[in-house]
Amino acid sequence: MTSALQRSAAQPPTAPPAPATAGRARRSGSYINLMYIPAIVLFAVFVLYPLIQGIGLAFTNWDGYSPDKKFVGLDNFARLFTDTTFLTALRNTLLYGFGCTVLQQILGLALALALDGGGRLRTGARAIIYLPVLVSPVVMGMMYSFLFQYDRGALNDILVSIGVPRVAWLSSGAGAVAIIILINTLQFVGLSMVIYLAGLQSIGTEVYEAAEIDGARGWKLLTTITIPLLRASFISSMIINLIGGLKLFDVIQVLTGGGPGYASHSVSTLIGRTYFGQQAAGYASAMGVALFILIALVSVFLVARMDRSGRDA
Amino acid sequence: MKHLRAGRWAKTAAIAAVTAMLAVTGCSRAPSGGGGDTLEFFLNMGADTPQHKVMTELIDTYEQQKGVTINVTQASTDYEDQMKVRLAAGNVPDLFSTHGWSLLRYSKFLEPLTDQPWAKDVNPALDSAMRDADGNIFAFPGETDVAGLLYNADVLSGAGVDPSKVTTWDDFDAAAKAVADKGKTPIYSSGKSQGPAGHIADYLAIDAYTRPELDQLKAGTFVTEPYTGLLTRVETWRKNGWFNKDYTSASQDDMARALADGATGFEFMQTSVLSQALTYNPDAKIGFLPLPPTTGDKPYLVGGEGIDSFGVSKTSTHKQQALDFLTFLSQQDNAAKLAEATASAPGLKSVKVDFGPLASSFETYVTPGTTPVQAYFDRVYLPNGMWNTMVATTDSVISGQGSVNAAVDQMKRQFETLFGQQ
Repeated sequence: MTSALQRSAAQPPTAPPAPATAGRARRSGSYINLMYIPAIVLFAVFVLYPLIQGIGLAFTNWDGYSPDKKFVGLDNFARLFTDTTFLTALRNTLLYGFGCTVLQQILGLALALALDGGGRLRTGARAIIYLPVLVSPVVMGMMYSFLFQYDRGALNDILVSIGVPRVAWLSSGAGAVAIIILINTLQFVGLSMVIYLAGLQSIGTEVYEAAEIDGARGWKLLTTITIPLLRASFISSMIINLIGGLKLFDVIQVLTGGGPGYASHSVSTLIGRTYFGQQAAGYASAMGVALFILIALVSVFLVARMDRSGRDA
Repeated sequence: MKHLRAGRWAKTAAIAAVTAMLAVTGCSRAPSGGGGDTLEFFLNMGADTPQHKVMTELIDTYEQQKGVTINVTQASTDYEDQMKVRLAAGNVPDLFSTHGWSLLRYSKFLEPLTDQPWAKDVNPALDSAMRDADGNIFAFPGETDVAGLLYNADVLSGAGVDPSKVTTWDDFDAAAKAVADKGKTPIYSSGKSQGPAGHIADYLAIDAYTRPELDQLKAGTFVTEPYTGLLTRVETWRKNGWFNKDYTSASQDDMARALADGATGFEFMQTSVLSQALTYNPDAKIGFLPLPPTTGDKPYLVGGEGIDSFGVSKTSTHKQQALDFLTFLSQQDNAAKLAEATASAPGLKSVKVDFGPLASSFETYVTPGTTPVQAYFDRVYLPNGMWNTMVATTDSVISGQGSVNAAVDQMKRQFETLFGQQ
């Protein structure tokens, strides 16, 4: 059972090397293996070591800065299930992850269908829609905070100019969460669009021609030919958007700081607040482990789906 | 032999790359400055604040006088986070702001300063906040922080309110209603900055609790009734529509502007906001008054170690130079400039300060020493780490996102968790 990726990477069978060159191949192979070392060291230092340290901290009551820490077993993990703040952040994390992903797929596919093909206008529009992907989420958060502010906010200034009273856009938790989903969706919809455009361009014209000969038109072509053949693109886009949404941090931090109260926190921002603000580094690490498990489960599920769709393709 | 040369090259390159990476990630901590003439000073100050301007001038003067270099690193909203990371990493700056926490949070990292020439001159009002049981002090107090009800006199007089007559919560409510009736915001605060909401709870809490209840807190029992009472008061203000409509998106800078522009009657905040307001409008008629009592019998101010307090790392390789810089700050002119920049009382008894437009408030409520100055509630009666929860829970009540009971419950749970960690 090889995956699509493995199959695509598989080399055509070749004859075994001649005895005179076999040793050389082995030797140069071992030298090539040396080249993995920098990447392995980097991974170990910057990913593996912090991960192990973080998991270890989750079993302590460390405050985050003092030399003292005490082993508390599973207390931090037990607390997660009864902590309403964490449960709110977890709910929001799922909303950010799935809400942004669903919106990005719908908008991304619509934009890809509308902008597929040549022409300066389409090319320009594609570039403009993709541009926000290159902007830092912190900058996006700042820009939108100037838009949604109650006083001196551009949106309210427009409302006032047409005689409508100002709206406190970020004063409710539901409003703040909805606005954060909207901002993240608008920023990264260009990424989905590009993935779908690549998918559309890989569908051969002969498939459409055959379908049209059979009488398929417009909506029928979209639902029976385009969307099924975009399944791999759909899974790729889903994975990128969903993992990004589940890890959402910067925009929330800049726009609402997790407020009002704790209403718009994601697990990522709550980890920061708990670690530094509440000086509960051990408990924050337990939240981090929980988030890691959540994202790992989602990722494994989606990658397995992608693997299957690759085999079915 | 070509492949062997290539192999050797590959091996050498790989080893060199690994060595370089290990060198980069090795995190060895070199002493700051090779010749003992460079200090690192980590400041908790916004770059646009009056105190930052003063501190920059003082540092320049000191560098010219002593031939010492002081590298300033600064942060404002995330100062505490950055500082905690540095403490955890053992990378402590030579000098750093202790912003009210020299004793409770930082003392184990700080050089005791009890023998310094200025230490006997420290304002006795700071003893409970800054000295340990043995009388040791760990930071130079650039100010004696004073906090109360900040007000704009023009707004209040426009509403027919005499600020000196606001001595009970009923008086305050009547004043707030009068301000609201004139179309102004009675109470201006900030939900965006991590602090102002917490200050409201902090200032009210210290007098909401009776002495026996405060003792219970110190012993590890969170008494809920007084806290429920103070948050219910805050909730009533919200229901009356007395908070600014842009509360969630307003910043601390907006608070200073609101006072300067006459957009609000009252604010619960430190006097440093007044000095910031005067930079926006030097003619603003602003001041502060004591907080109405809840369980006590007279209005009170809140105070203690202020944001402009500075300690020396006990592991500093430039300890003497750092201590000498603090001695320089303690000189009359320098210490006065620091206190004036934050519109605070000086940290040293002998220092004379010109409060300018705020002189009236200081002369009425601070100089005579007749108004009680209570300690910051969270620093004395709550476990270290509660401040953030205070901010968020009060914020949830002001913004209407959470009930009073939920906020109190959250405070109680966090109190018990953190108290158990001590």
